[in-house]
This record gives sequence, C-alpha cells and structure tokens, in this order.
Amino acid sequence: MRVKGTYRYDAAPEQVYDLLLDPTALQACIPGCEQLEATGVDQYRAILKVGVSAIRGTFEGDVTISDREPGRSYRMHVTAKGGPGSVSGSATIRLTADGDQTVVDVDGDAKIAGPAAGVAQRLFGGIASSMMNQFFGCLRTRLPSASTAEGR
Amino acid sequence: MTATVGRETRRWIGESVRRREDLPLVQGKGRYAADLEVPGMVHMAVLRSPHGHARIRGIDASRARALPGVFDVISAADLAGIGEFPVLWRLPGLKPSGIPVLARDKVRYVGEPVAAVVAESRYVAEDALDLIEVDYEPLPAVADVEAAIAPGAPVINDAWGDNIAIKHVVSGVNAKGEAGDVEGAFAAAHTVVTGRFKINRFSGVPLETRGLLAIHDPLSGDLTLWSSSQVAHKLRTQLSEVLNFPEASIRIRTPNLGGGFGVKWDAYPEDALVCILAQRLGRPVKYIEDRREHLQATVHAREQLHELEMAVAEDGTVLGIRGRIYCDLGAHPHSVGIGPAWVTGVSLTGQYAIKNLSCDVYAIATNKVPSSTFRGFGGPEATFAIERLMDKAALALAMDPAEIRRRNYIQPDEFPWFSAGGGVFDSGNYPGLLEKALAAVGYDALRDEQARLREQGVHRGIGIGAYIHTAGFGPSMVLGLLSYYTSGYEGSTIKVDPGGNVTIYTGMIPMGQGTETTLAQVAADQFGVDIDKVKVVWGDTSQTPYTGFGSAGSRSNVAAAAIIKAGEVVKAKAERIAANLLEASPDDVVYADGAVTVKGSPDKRVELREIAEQAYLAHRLPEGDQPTLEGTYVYDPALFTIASGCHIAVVDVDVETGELKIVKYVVVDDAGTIINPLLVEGQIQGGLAQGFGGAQLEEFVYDEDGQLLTQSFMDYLLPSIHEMPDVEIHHQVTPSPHTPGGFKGMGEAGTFPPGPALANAVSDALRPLGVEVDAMPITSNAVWALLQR
Repeated sequence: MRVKGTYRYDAAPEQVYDLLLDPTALQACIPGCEQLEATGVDQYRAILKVGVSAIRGTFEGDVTISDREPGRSYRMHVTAKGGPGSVSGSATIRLTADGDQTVVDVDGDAKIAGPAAGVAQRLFGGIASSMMNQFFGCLRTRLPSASTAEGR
Repeated sequence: MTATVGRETRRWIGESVRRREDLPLVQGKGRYAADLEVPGMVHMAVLRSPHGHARIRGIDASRARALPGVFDVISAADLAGIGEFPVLWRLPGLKPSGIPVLARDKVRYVGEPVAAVVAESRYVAEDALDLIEVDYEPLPAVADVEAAIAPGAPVINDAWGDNIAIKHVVSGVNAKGEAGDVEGAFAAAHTVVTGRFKINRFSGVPLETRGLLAIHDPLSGDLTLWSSSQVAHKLRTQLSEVLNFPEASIRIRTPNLGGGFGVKWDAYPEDALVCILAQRLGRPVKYIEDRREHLQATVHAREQLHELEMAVAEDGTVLGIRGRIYCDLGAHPHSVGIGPAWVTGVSLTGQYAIKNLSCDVYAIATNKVPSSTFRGFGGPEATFAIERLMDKAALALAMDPAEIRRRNYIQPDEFPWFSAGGGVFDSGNYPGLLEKALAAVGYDALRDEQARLREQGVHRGIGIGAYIHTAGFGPSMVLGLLSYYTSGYEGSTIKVDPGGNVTIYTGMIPMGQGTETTLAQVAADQFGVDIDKVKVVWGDTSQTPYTGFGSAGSRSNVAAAAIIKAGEVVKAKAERIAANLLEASPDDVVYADGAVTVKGSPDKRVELREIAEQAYLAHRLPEGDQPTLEGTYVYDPALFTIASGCHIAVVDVDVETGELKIVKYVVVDDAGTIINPLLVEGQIQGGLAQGFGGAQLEEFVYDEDGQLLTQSFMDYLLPSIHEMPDVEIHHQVTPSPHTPGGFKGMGEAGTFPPGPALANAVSDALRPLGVEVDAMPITSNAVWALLQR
C-alpha cells in the first residue's frame, strides 16, 4: 500500500524538521499513541490504540529514524504488531522551503498482514490518510507560530 | 413406462421420490459436527501463518500455556514420530512433497497451521493463540505463476530448486496407442486461432465448514474420529500412516454434512491434530473451522492460465490443438496432486472428434493455499478453453457457432471413442444435445431478433457451452496406471433381516445430494420391495465397506452398480432357498417382485420375508448354503462413464456499465439412466450455482505478498437466489453400456458450462465492438474494461 501526503507549515524547514523529530511532539500527535519511549538513538518503542469501527486494536511497535539530513529529509521505519494484524513500512519525509513556508512531502510503503489484511483492506487507504492528516495537523498546532495554513 | 433392473420391474428407479433424509434436517434435528458433544470435551484452536512466505526462527508458547483454561499447546517440535499426509496422485515427475501437520522451518501460505492450542472453550483457546509468540522472518513471496517462474524468483519449496512442481506432457496418444500428428495438423491448417484464457481461483465453500471430534478411549486404545470428510475409509488409512496408529483401532464416523463439494475430500492437518491432542490429553478434542479459516486454509481450486492454439480446415473441421496450461498450484501439491490440471489437459478436445492434441501442463507453486479438489475437477477449465476456441474458429471462418460444432462432434455411432487425451468415451449423443438445446432456446428466431435488437442499440448475445464429464471415477487399474494411489471401487453389503427388510451398507458419504434416498431406490427395485423396507447404513467405517474414493467424482452410479451386483448374490441365494422350500429345481424358479415363484406356476410362491425367516432359522436350507441372508459385492468399474451436456446462454450486455443480464438459459443434460429426476435437477441447479458463481462473482484474490484479501463474504461473493438466473432443464438419456443399471455420474455437471456459455454469449453480444471475453470472473468491471480498449 502506498502512503503519500503533502503538508504545508508557516515556518522554516529547520524548525519543522526539529518538530517532526521531537519525541514529546510525536507522543502528543501520533493518533492513539499511549506510549513512546526512546530505546536508543533514533529508536523508539510505541504503543498505539488505533482502528476504524470494528477493526480496532492495540499495536506495539518499533520506530527507527535513519538517513537524517537535518532540515531536508529523513527516513522512518515502522514495524508494529497487534490483534488486528501487523504493519511494517518505511517512508521518506522531505522538507522544502517555499517562501515563508515549508512543504513536507511524505512518500512511503506499508505492508499489512494478519486478520486486518483479509477483511479491511478496502479501509486502509482511508485509515492511513486520516491518521497522517491528524498527525501533521496536530504538529502544526505545536509550531511557535501556530498558523492557519492548510495541509493537503 | 417401465424398464427393468435385471429382471425386476422398475418401480422406484426413475421416480422423483422425496428424500427420506429431509424431515429431521429441516426440523433442526440434524447432527452436524458442531452439534456433537461428549463429556469431557475440550476445544482446539489453530495458530495460522499471517505471512505468505516466511521462515520460522522460533516459537515461544510459554505465555499461552500459562493461561488459565489452557491444557496444551503444540508446535512442530512436539510432533516426533508423526508423518506428513501424502500426495495421493503422484504423477511421474511430480516433485516430492507432503502435507505437513504443522509448519516446521517455514510457512508457505497465509493460513498455514503453525501451532495448536487445546483449552476448556474456544474463547480461551483463541485468547491463547494471541499469546503464542512466533519469530517470523518474512521472505519475498510470489503470488502468480508468472512471478513464480521468473528468473531469480524466491523458491517456495527449498528442496525443489525452483517453483515448477511438474511439467506433464499430454502427448495425444489415445488408449489404443495411436499417436496423432499435431505438426501435420497445423501445417495443413487453413486458419489457426489462439486463446489466452485465465480461469479464476475459486472453490466449493460449503455452508458448513470443516468439523472434527476426536475421542481416544484409554481402555480399548481405540481412536474414534467424527469427521466432516467425504471419504472416511481413505482418511482412516492415511491417518493410520501419519499417526503411526494401527488402522484397525481407528474408527471414523460421519455426522450430517452441510455440503462437501470436493474440498472435504482431501486430508487436512487438523484431522491429525485433533487425534494427536486427544491422545496427549486423554480427553475428546473438538475443532470447528471458522469461516475466515475456511476461506484461508481449505483448499482452493481452478486457477489456470492457458496459451492454446487450434488448427482449423476451411470447412470448419478442427485439425488439432496444442499449447500450454499453467496451473497455479498454491504452496505445494495437496491430496490430489495436479489431478485437476491433468484432467484439463486430457479433456481439451471436449465433445469433438479431434485426433491431434499436444499440451504441456505446468503446475507452478505460489504462496497461496494449495489448489486441489473441487466439483468439476479440471473439467470446467477444459470446457472453457475448447468452447471459447470453437467460437473463435467460427468467427474466423464466418461460420455459425452451432454449425461449426455440428461439423466436429463425435457421432453417436462412433462409440466407444478413443480420445486424443487417452480417454475412452462409452456412449453419448452430442449432436442430439445441441439440437435439443437449440430448439429449446429458439435459436433461429433468436438470431433474427439479435440482428433487429442490434439496430436498436441493444447488445444481445448467444453462447453455447458443451461439455463431457468424466464421471463414475474410476477403474482402479486405470488409477494405478495414472499413479493415483487410491481406488475407484465401491463395495456394497446387503443384509436381509428375518423380517424381510433390506439393509444396505455403503461407503458413500451423503453430503446433501440425497445419496440415502437414491441408493434406497436402487435397492427397492433390486428386491422388488417397498422403499420403506429398505434401510441405508452409512458413515461408520466399522460397519460400512471400504471405499478408496467415497463421495467424489460423481460416483453414485458406481455405488448403485455395487448394490445391483450384491443384490444379485442375495437373490440367487433366495432363489435356492425358495426352490428348496417349493421342492423345485433352482433352475425352475425366478425372483421377481419381492418373491420367488416357480416359472409357469405363479401360485407356487414364497415371499422374501418367508425366505429370510427360513434363512435365519436354518431348519431347511439347501445343501451347500450357509444360514442367514446377506451378500457382498465390491464393484470396480470397467470404464469411466462419460456424461455430457449442452447449455445455451442468452445475455444482454449494457455497454455503458458492462453489466450482464441473463435473458434465457437452457440446459440439456445426459447422465444415462436417471435414478431420481428430482435429485438430478437439484444437483444440476446446485452445480449451476457454483458454475455461475465462479463465472461472475467468486474469486480468491491475493496481493503480491501472498496476503489473502478475500477472507470474508464481504469480498468473496457467493451467488444468492437473487443472482441465479431461471434455467430451463431438459434431459437426454444415453445409458452407459458397461455399468449395471446404465447410470452415469452427474453430480458435477452443472459446474462445467456456465463460464464458457456466458463468455461466448458476451463475446457474441459485443462482436461488432471486437470484444472477446477470455477470462473469469466475467464481472461488469471486467466487461467495461474490455469495452474501453
């Protein structure tokens, strides 16, 4: 499953970059995140409660950040397991200055296995978009200059 | 109209006798596997692979074992001394494999059993499944034949070196040893038509999933397994080998079955698991497969890709067929190996007198559940190919599709016909089927109407689907020649009790088709008694005769023949006993209408009841005869019986949406002598439902990682009564000359033609737009996509 999204922020790329990788911001903004604890440099263990209607569950997962280019891009890898199944995926996040704003581009891939794959695959695109929009929207509120620019 | 079974007047055969099974079933008094309860029973749940392809690095079941209410958890490490279920049909060249009871080093498909839990309830057992930690190392998967044979493709079965289970060559040499000349046929061709056909992956999906209850008696050491299996004795033999447990101490009993359709013929890991756990625990172990498990792990079927060419002469005579068939086998061969693909290869010539055939059948492993037995068993796939090729040839020669078929049929006086695929066709009248179907559908008027409607922008099409159905599986010797390690006989034991009632013991397993009633009809006519005096005993291997094939391969005719032959043994003895009582010579008496009379003196008569009484008292038995009145006959068919039929579909296609509307659908079916017309119609309708389902709705879809995306009825679409068209059913009867009673099997017939008939009809409807339907399912999406090209 492709995971793609583009979001705009009223801030400089370096500011947005730091925000995207701030564990406090992440714990507050990742939807359903109950716990996020650092297990090493750029490594986290997360517990998430997510789902849509009947397909809900608690996921335990590992998040790894790699290929850091401060202010410009990084890669994120996730593997998570829970009742509804397991998810593993990677995404590249790129930040580009556009005048006073920063455009954040997310481009990734996720594989889903387990019960959810067999009964809910039609919903995944929507769930992924919804979660990303929630996450990036929430981050925007934590910017020093909480702006009114809309993400796409 | 009466006819005779031997010397008997037929009172019951040919009658639409209502089923004796039905009253308790419709009153909710049926006893299916899920209804079985015994004291001390515990419940099994199975942990299944969530990955299409992965290595198992380790399994930690400690948390599961510690859960209150859990009695046992096992994985492959606990299966020392346990074998694998065998592939029974081991064609030469088939790479070695078995069916493991639990996955050991790797998992090869989503749903493959990895561990089993036994607990006080299914709820607790499933909670325990969540606590089993399996360390999987996911591997790249292959989910279609092209990916599986691409260079560098991940190998699923490490010992094989690649993913080709077998390349089987159908050489086109007939049963008399005569070879064809395919090269010559294509060199001489006026036209060559090609077809690239995709048959979808679908399966039987019975209303009742699989169910098991294993009881190990510590006192006698006996193992009783209640199983929703279609073939109890063969399962017993296989279990004995897998479990290393004496076969004489295994008893398999069959509850009511909510449908089988072939998928319950194969042996499955769970069959062994419940037995193993029952022995380990000393308590009865029950397992009921849930629907998601069923869609994942009960065998699929049909998926094939064909690349075929057909050489045709200018007058429409088909000169030859050649090409390749790729069977998507799933992760490994299952109980019947590549049986269905083999049948497809040898059945490609259909009803036609095509003497030149050459086909390479490839069976390819993919990361999907194995593809195996399902009603039709390769015949529907072949029917799709040949019937589409006939229509393509008709188009190429600007000939009517009915006319091209007329020019190619095996004629009624050409039987026995030795087909290029190696089959021997016993009897048939294929032109007769076509003419009957054309008349029933009003073909000529339809063609005129089609032209008029086209001018008005209505796209109506007519499609023919004609088939041969190798039924009455089969002469055991032939199965041996084919390297199929099972047998095709049916035994029948008949006991007449002192009261003159007749009890039939049969190895057949009723799975909803009315076997009990059908066989009672045959016995009632055989003995000339009222059908209420006939009892049929089935479903208990400790009582019923051994069968290697059971209820599959459309074999009621084989069971019926066994009853007729066993009946002859009993009646001959009855004649001898009666002759002795009447003080006549055995040559001067005859058994008829439930009694033995002296020929020419109808007043000198002894009823069956009296004969039976004397047989059990044994006060006045003829010399050489032993007391009691029973007989056994094990009937091994001399030949397969070839049933046949012709269907015609009339459809309207909406070119905006691709939607089909079936305007008319006509069936002409020939299954030889019919035992019960009502039940035959039921079988045809049921087969049609599965035929239409596969043709338009049903498909198991895997993504490229081998994830099964259709794990519920939200996505795997079964036809309901609303999707079923009204069909008109007609019959033709060409009896089987070599089967006592003249019956041919027919249980699978309905599944063969709907796909090709609809594909031909839609292609015919959209002919002006150049659309050819060469794939199933024929969904509105698919037709719409073809229209966009």
